[in-house]
Amino acid sequence: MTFKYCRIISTRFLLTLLFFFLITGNATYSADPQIWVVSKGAKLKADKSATSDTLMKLPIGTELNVISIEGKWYHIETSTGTQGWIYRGKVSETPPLESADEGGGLESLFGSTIEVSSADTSRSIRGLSPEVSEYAKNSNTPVKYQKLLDRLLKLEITDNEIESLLQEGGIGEYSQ
Amino acid sequence: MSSCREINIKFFRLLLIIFVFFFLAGFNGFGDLLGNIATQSEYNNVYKKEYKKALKKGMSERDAHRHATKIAEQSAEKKKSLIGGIGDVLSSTGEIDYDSEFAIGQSLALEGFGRYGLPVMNMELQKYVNTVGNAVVRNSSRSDIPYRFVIVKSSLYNAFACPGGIIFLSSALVKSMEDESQLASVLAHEIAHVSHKHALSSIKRAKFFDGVGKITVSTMKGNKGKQFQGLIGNLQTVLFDRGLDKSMEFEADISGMEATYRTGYDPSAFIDVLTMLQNKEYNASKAGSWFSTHPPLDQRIAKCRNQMTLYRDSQNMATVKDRFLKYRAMIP
Repeated sequence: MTFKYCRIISTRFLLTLLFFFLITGNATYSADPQIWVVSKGAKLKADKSATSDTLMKLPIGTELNVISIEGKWYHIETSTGTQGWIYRGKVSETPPLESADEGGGLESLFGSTIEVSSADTSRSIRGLSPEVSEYAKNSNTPVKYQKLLDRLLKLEITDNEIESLLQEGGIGEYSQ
Repeated sequence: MSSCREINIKFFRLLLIIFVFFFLAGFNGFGDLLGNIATQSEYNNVYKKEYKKALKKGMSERDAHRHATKIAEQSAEKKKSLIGGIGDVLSSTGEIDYDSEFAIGQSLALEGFGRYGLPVMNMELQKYVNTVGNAVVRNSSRSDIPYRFVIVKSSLYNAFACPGGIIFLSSALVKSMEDESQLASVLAHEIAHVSHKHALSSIKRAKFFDGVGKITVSTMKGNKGKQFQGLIGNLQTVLFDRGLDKSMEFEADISGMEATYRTGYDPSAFIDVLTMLQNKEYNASKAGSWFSTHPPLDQRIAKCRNQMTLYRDSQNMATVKDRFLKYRAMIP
């Protein structure tokens, strides 16, 4: 009798635990209308059109409140109260990871990280680094290869060129 | 009362077993990865040897590839079991800053020219590919570093990503594409490898970084210089011959489709590329191509189709055929 009673208690305990996870999981899923900017170069527009005025640039990680959704555009409000429109591809219902290092797995297990602070965030690259020239010398890499790579690394891509490509192709926020 | 205590003990023992199971599962996953990395060289050597042997015996390229893969995998498995349980090696590698990561990527890119071919010498074409690529980068999970995209003259169907953001595409692969969304989707897949630092996880065991905070000109000399060459050699095996782990490829497929969609291109374009490759697989050269460095295409297509259920509104998204064909015609 006692044995049976205890088994029922254990089963109930497990069921309660399961129920708790279902409830909390569901609560997270159906969260309030909060979204985050997850793309570089996101802009808050005055209207739901890429050609409308840009009210402000929104950095990655900016938290926004959704007022309404119309097609591919979110009508949002920033934490400072500015209202405007943002293209759906620039936002997510989950906040962005600061870097891929925070994704867990091996790197978080062993605390080994890549410091991106030293990365040049502009879209130009200085060219072949002296360390790589040293490697090329040590490994008898043809000078021609080094010159070609150097030339390609120095190729400059501006934000305006990217915008023109998207606009001419009717891509993303420029789509009809 | 004692029965109740017994059951409670059993119950908590069960919980403990579950906990230990998940812990070990995680640890074994890590061990597998380590083993895979450590046996790249073994796999590569055996594969090359067996592939040549099979061809000499009169097997077709396809059968020779299958035969060599099987033997090489068996040999690699044996070696992996010998070196299991050395996880602490990973913890000794220390931090790698972006400059070091990029130096590794540049060195690999130089090797890539030797292995696959030189860049197509049309700067208008290279600029176009770089603009498309950088449009996708904006919507990737690692948009804070600069990326460069290079089309190289090669008859192999291949694309690969060097650490730090230098991405290669073979001319044969680009020539087989039909529109810009297909190009963007392949670039997005490779960008995802850089974002998730997939290739970098392969060098964490390298002794090169023991006692070296970062790669500098002085660390490239003497014994350390030789160790660095060994490190690049190992990475070549990973990227050019063996390929990354299956799970990394699947992860890059899904992340790539997400970035393609966010940019505004139809993400199903990636499935079209995989299907195109599947159609070409039978007659294509295998060694050093996507066919030998990536998981079976049918598995990837199935997973990508499943992912497409998230993009129900993708039918009218951009494909941009005409502009792509204009630039594709520039490839010799």
